[in-house]
Amino acid sequence: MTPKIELKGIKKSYDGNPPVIENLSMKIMPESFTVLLGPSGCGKSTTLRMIAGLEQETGGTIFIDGKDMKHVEPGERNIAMVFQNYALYPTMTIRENIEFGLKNMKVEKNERFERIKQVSEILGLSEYLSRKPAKLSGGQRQRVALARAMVKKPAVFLMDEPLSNLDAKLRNQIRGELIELHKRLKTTFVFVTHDQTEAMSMATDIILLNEGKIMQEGSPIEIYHNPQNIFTAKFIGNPPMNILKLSDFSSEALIVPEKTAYIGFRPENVVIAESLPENREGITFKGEIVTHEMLGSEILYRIQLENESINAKIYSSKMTDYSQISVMVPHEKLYYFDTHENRIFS
Amino acid sequence: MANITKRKVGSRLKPYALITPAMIIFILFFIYPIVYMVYLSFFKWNMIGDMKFIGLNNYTSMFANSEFWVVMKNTFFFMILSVGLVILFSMLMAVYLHKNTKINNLLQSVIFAPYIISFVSISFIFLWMFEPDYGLFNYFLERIGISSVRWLQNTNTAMISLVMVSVWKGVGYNTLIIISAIQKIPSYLFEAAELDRSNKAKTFFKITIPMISPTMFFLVLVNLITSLKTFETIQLMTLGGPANSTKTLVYYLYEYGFSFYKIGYASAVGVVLMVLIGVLTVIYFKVLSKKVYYH
Repeated sequence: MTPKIELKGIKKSYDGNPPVIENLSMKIMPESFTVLLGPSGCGKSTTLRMIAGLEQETGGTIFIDGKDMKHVEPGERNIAMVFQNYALYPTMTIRENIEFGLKNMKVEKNERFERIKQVSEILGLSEYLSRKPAKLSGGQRQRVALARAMVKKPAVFLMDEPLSNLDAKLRNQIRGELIELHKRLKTTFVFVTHDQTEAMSMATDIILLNEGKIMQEGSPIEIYHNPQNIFTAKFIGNPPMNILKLSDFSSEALIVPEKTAYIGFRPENVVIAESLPENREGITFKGEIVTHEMLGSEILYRIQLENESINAKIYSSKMTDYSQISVMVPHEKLYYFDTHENRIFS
Repeated sequence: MANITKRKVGSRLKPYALITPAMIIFILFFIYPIVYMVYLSFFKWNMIGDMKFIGLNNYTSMFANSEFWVVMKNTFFFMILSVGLVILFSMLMAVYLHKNTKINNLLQSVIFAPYIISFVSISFIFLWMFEPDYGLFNYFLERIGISSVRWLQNTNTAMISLVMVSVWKGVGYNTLIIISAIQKIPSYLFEAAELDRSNKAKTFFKITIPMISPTMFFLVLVNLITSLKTFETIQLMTLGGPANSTKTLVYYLYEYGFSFYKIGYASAVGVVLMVLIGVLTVIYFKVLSKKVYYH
């Protein structure tokens, strides 16, 4: 299958400065919900803007449907973009906002009317069509931005952190709506975010970026259970994976693969007990609970070990008090990393 | 109890006490002159002799005077043409210069220069340039084969010449204000428009203009009032002539007040000017403010 969007050897630098992106290649498959995930400044928004054509790549080529996009205007790329701050035209009513692109595309009046009716019904905007954006709430504006994109029936939706200006509850709700929308429209979504929860919950494919390089690509499940490096392991999951230096472990007989420098395990795989269990099927340490946070279905503990502290997530209704405890992590739940912080597969 | 009331009264009076100095200045220099002008307009007075109450006679003779109506026509002609051209040229300049490149920054200061030069100096420079026999304008006109124009001496061109001067002086200031308004439009709106396949002209009319409408609203109003008050150029370049063709309300008022010493009549003209500015402002706010987008 040819990818919907392909980046080949993309380089981007802003005049005179060292490049933000040195050599980036990626493939975004048709009908996927691809999330570009990474910390701020990793180049994810820049990448999205280059796909949109709002930013010119310094080197390399961007293909959409196999066609070189170098000299194609943003408006001609058959894409629609949803901006972080919505970028609604404040002087136009909601209807005019949604209609603006259609008019420029020379869509006929009846057809425009029909399409606007359709999207505003889907997104629950029908009653707001004659209002100005300033009269709407954040969530409604977000929907208008979506409507403005949807009404053009683009082949690709580009979304630049569209949920970051919403409060937590609304964000969850719109997240769900976006998943539904993606299923319904059967088009390609490219979504930029720094929020791993957002990425995990919506994506079919995640591309994790750091400093302009791809750290790992894969499905949410793959990327969560099979991190290929410490960066991925620590970026995905909340709280992040505990990473301990091998040198922190006491002389106790620990069988690890060759070249192991770090050992990692997820907080939810930690077992705590007052004393060490008899049959040790994993690594064990002694530690002290320094904080506990009740999160509802689970309790989050911060445990101080000899040199480091770790997080543990325990699904239990009983709270363990601040005390000395024993910690155990089963062998099969351990991840090993070499000195370059890359995963060692045992 | 008494103590509390006293304190309450004190705190009630405090704001008034604080604005008193400003109010004194306001009353002395704004309210009093206006009231006195209206008062004077009911009298016949030559500044030296006795004041004689003549009721509305100043007004009736003014409205019956054909010269007054010529002056009104001139005033509106000057106002509409100069404000229209200032706004048009400023807009074009602003669109051309709004990107902050080095050369544009230089040009922005250059076009602002006329604004800080006094009208007196500008009038003298233009007087020389408009000179029919050895002025700069006619020199260039003759160079390109057009017969010379008697700019300030011809009833058809005198007013247009004055408009040219005030447009030239006003464009820089207006341009800078429009530039700053354009620069304040968030860039993502232009990006959104680009993705919506909007062409340059459409983006300008549908995004840029509506977004800077509050600024344009302000500028048009300020320019209208400034143009109604134009005096120095007329005084220095044409003295209202030839044949009253450049006489505006302000100059008419000045003439009656300080050349003919008909203070009552001049005050009546002043009242008309004031009412005119007031009415324009009210109409302007009523009609246009609804179409303006405020953030």
